[in-house]
Amino acid sequence: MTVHLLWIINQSGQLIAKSSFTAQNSIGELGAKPDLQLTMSSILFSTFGMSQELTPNANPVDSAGMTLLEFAEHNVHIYETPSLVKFVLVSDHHTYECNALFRQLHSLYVEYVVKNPFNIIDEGGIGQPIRIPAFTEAVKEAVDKYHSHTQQPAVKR
Amino acid sequence: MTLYSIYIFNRYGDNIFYKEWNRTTAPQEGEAGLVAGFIYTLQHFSSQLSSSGEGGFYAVRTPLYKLHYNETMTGYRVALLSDKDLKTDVVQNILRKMFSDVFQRYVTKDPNYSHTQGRVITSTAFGEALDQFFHSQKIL
Repeated sequence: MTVHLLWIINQSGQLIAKSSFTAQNSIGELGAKPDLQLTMSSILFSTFGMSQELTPNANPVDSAGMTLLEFAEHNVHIYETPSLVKFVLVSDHHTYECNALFRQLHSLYVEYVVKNPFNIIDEGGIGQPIRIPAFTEAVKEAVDKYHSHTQQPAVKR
Repeated sequence: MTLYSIYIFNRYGDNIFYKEWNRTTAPQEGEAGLVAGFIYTLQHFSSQLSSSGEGGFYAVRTPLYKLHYNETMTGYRVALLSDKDLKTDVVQNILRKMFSDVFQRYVTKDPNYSHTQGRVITSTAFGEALDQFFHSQKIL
């Protein structure tokens, strides 16, 4: 498994955290223009809602939001917490499942962000970015464990 | 294997064909436009992540269903909604074959069909041939 990018999107659709784990050119235009990630994460948030609306076999118990996007060069994994925070991972196109990593990232989010009394969730209704260095380090440590040794070494940013 | 519905769009974004099989939720108003916008957005997202800039969008998986996507170089796009366990590479091959065999024979070679903006496929032969094709591929 190679993880290129992590986004955390809050319940309003705002990008509150982003971390890159591989070289900038591994995610094309999104690597070359980091500001584009703000736009694309909002668009992904809307698209998630659309995938729920398009469900041809809806049932009241399960959410039908998209969990995996299969592209030619990457797979995009999406995990929505019960509090509607979304974790998005961009991986290589051979990786089809990363639930264990998502659960670990969710735990780190709870431990370092939710429990932090100084973390500001939003200001005037606008979600604030996560600026907790310990959280950033813990995330990188968690993702590095999942970078397989059988892959050629990823260039760390 | 279960198929729910199929949408075919031309290069103008018009929904030129729609068919449903086993869906349990009724289609909502304007759903074809929503599907068109949905697949366009994801195709664009894929091209932005791609090193070559060309992208390549294959499928969206959700806990309840899966949407498979394929497009021709002439701009015809297909979105096939199926149950979530249908294999992506199997369906990619089937959709490619659908365009080169069924679509080519019953739409492209149909003298009554003109490939202009807003033109819907009215021939019943294509719908029937599509059913037979999916049956022969054992996904319907």
